[in-house]
Amino acid sequence: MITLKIGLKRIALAAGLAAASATVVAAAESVVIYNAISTKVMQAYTEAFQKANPGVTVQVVSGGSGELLTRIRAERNNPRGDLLVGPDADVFDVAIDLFESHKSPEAGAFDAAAQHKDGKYYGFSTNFQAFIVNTKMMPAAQAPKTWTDLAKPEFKGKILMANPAQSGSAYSQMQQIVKMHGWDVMEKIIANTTFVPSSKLAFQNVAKGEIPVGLTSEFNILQSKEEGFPVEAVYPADGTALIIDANGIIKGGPNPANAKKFLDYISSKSAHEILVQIDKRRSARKDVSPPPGLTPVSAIKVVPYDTVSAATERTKNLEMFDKIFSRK
Amino acid sequence: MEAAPVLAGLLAVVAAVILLGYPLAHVLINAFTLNGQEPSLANLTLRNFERFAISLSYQRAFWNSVVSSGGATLLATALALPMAYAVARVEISWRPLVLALSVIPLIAPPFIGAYAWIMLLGNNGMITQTVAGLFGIKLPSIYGAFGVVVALALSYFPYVFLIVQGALAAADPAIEEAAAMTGASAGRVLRTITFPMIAPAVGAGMLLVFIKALGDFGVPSILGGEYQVLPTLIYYQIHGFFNLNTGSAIAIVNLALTVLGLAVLSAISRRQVATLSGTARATRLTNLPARSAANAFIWVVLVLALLPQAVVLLYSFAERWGDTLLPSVYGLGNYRSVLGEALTTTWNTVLLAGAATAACLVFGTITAYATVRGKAVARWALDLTIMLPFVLPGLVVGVAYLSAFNDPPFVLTGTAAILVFAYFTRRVAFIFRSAASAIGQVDSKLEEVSAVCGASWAETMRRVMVPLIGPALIAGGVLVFATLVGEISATVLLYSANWKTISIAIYELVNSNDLAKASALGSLCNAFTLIVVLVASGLLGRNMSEMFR
Repeated sequence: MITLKIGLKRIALAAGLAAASATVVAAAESVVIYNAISTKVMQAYTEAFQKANPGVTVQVVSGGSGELLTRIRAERNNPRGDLLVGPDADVFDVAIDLFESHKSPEAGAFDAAAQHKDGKYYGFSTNFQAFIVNTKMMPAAQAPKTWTDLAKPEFKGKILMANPAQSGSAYSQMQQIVKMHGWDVMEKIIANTTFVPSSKLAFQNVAKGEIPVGLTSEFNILQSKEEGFPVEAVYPADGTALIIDANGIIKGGPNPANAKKFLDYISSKSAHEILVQIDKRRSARKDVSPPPGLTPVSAIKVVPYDTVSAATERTKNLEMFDKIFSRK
Repeated sequence: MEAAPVLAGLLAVVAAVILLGYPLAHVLINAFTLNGQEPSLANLTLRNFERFAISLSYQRAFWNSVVSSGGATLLATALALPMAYAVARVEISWRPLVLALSVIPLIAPPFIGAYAWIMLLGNNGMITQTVAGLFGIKLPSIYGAFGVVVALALSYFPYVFLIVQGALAAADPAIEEAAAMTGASAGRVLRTITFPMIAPAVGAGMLLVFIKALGDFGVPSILGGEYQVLPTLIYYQIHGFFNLNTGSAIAIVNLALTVLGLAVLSAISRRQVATLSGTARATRLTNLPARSAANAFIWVVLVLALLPQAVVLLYSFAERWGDTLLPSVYGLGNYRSVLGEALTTTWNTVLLAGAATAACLVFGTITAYATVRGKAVARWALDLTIMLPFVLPGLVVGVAYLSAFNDPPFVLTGTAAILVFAYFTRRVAFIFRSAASAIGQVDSKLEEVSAVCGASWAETMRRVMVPLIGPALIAGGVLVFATLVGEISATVLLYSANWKTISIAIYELVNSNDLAKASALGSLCNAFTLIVVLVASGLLGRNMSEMFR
């Protein structure tokens, strides 16, 4: 029984520690962030927010956007998080009932397309989907120039894309192709392309010289280039959309007042300037200029992207993808 | 009958029902109801399983899982058996070092290792480039079945190796010597004496590899490319569609495969041979050819298995590593920037994994005792309940815990307790199994004698049973603790900001595309776990070899 007692004491200790920390947290003010953005940027935000709001602790829980949404959905009857930070806007649209409206004083700085109509989310970064090309493996002249080029037989086995069911950015790439050119072209692209489960691999493996072309967000290309990899960005000449990622308040979260404060802060000009500087992303705010090194919008053919239809058609589109993919 | 054993048994049953049965019931109900429907008897359906009959990608994932886990198990065994024989029966150099190094693949956080394989053997990998440059040979692509099988085998072969070499070291060589003296050839001795002696150990090791390979998400998700297996399919259903129902159904199919593997392996190792003997001596081959061959084989396997972690270590010192074979700038910057985080998160991991290990030890031992000695009515049910979460992928256990313990009556989300319990659930089978086999080897007459002499049950446990099975328990406990340090798939769904573990800190950095810092933290994590294992084996007064008997 000695072992038993010691064991129970230890469990009691751990449980007690947990209870103690829970009371500490309840006593001091806090805000719980479900975080899908890079640790560097989130650290900068945490420090700045805590400095401006003494006595409020920012608690960060990180994960992929799918993992975080799974948490929010499973916790819906007793939410544990206050804000969801950084997933694509259509992730919010898919489960919009789980988020709370908030009229932010920063709302005026965002275009209508860069915020939810009821203030359930506000834009964060806004990124073009582009082709990352390893110029050592494929000279720029031979690289694909348009989405339809990806369907050409000469690129068979040379393109990498994340699986649209496993990656939000890959889903938006597929959605753009389907809206512009229909499923016939997408089917040929599926035949040419290798699909990987993670959106990180779609640019990392191109940078490392595993495969010449990948589909990714433009800032990943710029970051890889600055790390010294021989890569260039190609913006599809038949048009590419700005894909917005966003931040929003989780409905029924434990610290609603601080959640609003944090959302206002993270939507502010200074917070967006941090994002541009550290992560090389374009800001969704009208008054923050893009990072040097990114192609100016004037040189890109921009097409609109409808996040609501992207969200409502998601299951149908993914099932179509799965059907074509499994015939491969 | 005294009250103490009854009480202990009751406690075990209550813990089993709440911590294992309750969340598992969620998985089962989910698997047999449709997405969005209320769980009720009327809504029970097999529709979630239908896709295995109609969808090509499901069928392919099913067979890919069978092939990759089966292949990895066979390859791991083929590597581990000669190595175990070499370590236990040949006078090799640096035996303690070999044993310590062989633990590393088991404890290393899995998701960085898979990236390292690409850096080594990818189309543009370090080895691929070097081999092509030196010999003009193009190595086969690691993407797909080949890479997945090799990486899984090299990650999990130590289970077979450690268990089998423990069994070999414990077996009395006198029987083999007797056979050799009566004229049996070396091959015949191996086949008719040695192998039957170690067969149960081989079976146990192979089963562990099979279970681990079948549940692995990290390796196939990075090296598989389009090669989907059941765990990647589960991930895709749960995180892509939030379809817990289909996800659970796939997990049940995964489970059925494990049970099948269990049946096959128990058929192989049916003949139980008592290997515990009081007088085991170490007799080892000392002739030069045997020693050279043994040393060569061991180091080839070890170098292959440790290569990914070596790359992680190299990467951790890289301040800049672009398009070059090796890093272009080295330094300690990565370590400097992760050190603070390493300290706090390691401390959290120690508390959480430590509490879970303690719980596993208490509960696992009591239930093992009840199962082996007692006449527990539903013994099979207990056995099954303990084994189930061990063979379910961590993601499924995580989701089950999240949905079971977020709402009343048991609200645990956001606390440390939910992680401790989830860890406990995923690892208690380890202790249960090793305690059961250790208790089985203790003659029950010893307990009767103690009782006859007037000792209470508790006293008998403390003074007779625990000392006899103690070493097995400690070895099991160390393995549980060490393998919990890198746990990620359940942790990512259950952890809260105050209880961030080191595995989460690494995962965050990987997600931020900061692989150099992730490598620094991963290397610190490896070093820490290795030290824990070495200290524990030192405290036991034994080397690693004897810990895995």
